[in-house]
Amino acid sequence: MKPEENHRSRENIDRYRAAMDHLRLPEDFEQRTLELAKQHMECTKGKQSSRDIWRAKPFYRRPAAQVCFVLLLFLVIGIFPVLHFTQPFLATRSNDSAAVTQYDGGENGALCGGVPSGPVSGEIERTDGTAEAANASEIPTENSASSANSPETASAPAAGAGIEEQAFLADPDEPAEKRSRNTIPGDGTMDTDTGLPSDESVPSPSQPQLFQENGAASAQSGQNTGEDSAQTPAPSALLRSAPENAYEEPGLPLVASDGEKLYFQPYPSQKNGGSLMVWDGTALSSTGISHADSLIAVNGGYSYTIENKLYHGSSLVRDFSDEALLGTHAFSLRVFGSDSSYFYLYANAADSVSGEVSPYAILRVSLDGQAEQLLFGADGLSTGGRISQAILAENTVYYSLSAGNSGIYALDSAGGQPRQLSSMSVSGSFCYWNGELIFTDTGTNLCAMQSESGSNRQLVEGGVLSPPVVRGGTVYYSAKSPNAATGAIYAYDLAGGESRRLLEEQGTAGGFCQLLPASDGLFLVNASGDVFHYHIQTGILTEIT
Amino acid sequence: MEHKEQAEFAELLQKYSAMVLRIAFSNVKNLQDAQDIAQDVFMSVLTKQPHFDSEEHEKAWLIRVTINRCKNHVKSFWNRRTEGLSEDLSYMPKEETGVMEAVLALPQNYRNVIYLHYYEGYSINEISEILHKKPATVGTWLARGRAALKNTLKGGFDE
Repeated sequence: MKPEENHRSRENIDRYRAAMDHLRLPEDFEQRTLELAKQHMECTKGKQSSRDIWRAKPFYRRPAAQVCFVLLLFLVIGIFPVLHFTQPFLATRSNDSAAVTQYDGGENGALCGGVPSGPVSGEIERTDGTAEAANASEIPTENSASSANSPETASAPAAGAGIEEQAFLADPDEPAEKRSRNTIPGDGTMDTDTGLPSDESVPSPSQPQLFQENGAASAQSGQNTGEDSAQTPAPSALLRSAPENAYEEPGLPLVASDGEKLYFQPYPSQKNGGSLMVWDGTALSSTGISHADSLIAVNGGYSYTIENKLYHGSSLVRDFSDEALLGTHAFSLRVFGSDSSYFYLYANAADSVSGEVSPYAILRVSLDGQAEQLLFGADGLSTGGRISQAILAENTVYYSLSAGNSGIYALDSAGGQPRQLSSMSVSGSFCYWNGELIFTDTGTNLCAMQSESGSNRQLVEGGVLSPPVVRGGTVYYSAKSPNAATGAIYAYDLAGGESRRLLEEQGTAGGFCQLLPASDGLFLVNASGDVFHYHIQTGILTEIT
Repeated sequence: MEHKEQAEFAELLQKYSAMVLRIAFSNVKNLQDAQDIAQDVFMSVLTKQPHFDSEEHEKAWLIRVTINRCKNHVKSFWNRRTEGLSEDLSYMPKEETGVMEAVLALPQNYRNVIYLHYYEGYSINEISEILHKKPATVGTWLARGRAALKNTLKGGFDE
């Protein structure tokens, strides 16, 4: 390198350094950086402290965990109704039977359960498994008024003592062939010896899956020491093994009463070809309806089901035959109650086998049939059974399961989860009076159970032949007369706790196996399907049919 | 911030702020950006609080962090999508401006080694340690930088 170039190079380097030295930071650079650093440190400390607080929180108190829990809760709550409501709707046909009668509108506004019957549906069964199409042409017809006026019936008083609401339900488990085999001979007498249930105990098919109040179990075990749940026969099994109970005999008419009017559908082979009749206190008229499989007296009229179709009078309210209330299971629909807005129905699996846990559903449909709400649906897996009786009282549906998770349950009329009151099995129907369910158990004992706690007390021990009916604080029932081969009508005073005999069943064919409340007395039905009116004050017994 | 930390930080600023600014300027060619980068570098000292074995280690760490920040700035989306104002070097004497412009016209790696070698006085090996590059690479960058400056500046930078 030449000296001149070397000198130039030195100058360039010095100029470069001098140029670099001209670069200056702002005067407040240090102060601004320090302030920024302080802010940054404070922010970092704040973050750290909040992070420490968050880490110190237990897992369930962390917002993210709470949000996840709420979402999971919503998911769980949302899934179960969806599972219940989104079962595929398939066409089903009914070939099962259950008779439902209900009395509503007694003076005391009480409710009463039902008397079993059930021969009607046996007429419409099909051996190929399909059901006969609804006889729509012959169902809704005009009522043909009967001109028969008898002096006795014309003198029926207007209003009697308080009458409880009652819904009588036939057990639909009874197969048609069994019913025909157990038909009482038409000699006009009932063998009361065989009317008592068998002493054989059938183990309960399964333990209840739904939650059960402790009080119910303890009360039952405390008061029913001779009938503990393990030895209580399942109703369905009992109905088959001990069909000698008078009120479980086939051939009984389908009956309902609102106190003033009596609605009844005789067994087809017995009277009027099985046409639904109305007795208004003075005259008997035919409605032209037949083959009804459940019947209630409601709103001054009557409602019934025929092959999964719900009718009110001559009007079709809702056709459920194309709906799959129980998924793929065929079902049989029964109406058991009504209020000012809804009809209440239940559906049993038509193909269920006694003792098996089968799906069932309890639903309500608006009076115009447009709106439908499933109150509870048993899936037939964890919950299930077969509803043998049901009653609507005090905004609650009380029902009895005769198979599966057998027992008595209470379900809010707006829906929800049923509450098991007792594992007892009910024979026939039950009544509701002043917060108590009154029924006959499978041991033919007359029992009263608190509808809230499930605690049970025995009113009459053994020998009760008919489901009870409650009227004005008095329970009426049919029982075997201790000194005679025939039965008698008894009245049990719920307040006094004493029972008195009202009427000997002399001259009535087969004895009285169904009782219904009337405003001035009782409607009585014998095993032959004959209907009587009994005036309590005068003691006069009048045959209506 | 503790008083002790504050005093140490003030000392660090006084000691190395000018160097950091110069390195940043060499890289981004803009005084405002260089000042922002310098502040960012010192903030990182506070946040990371690195442990230095020696003063040289501390200085080398600052040089490396500054160069990396500058590279990030140059690569940033904002810098690539916008065209910054050309730096006004009018405050410098005319002779110095010509040399500075010649150096700033070099590629970034050449500028860094020119600055570290001719201003900070680091040897090739020291520069290679600071930049985590091979000495040959640093030597090549330095030689090419000199050659480029020799073409633009009369006399260039000597070896």
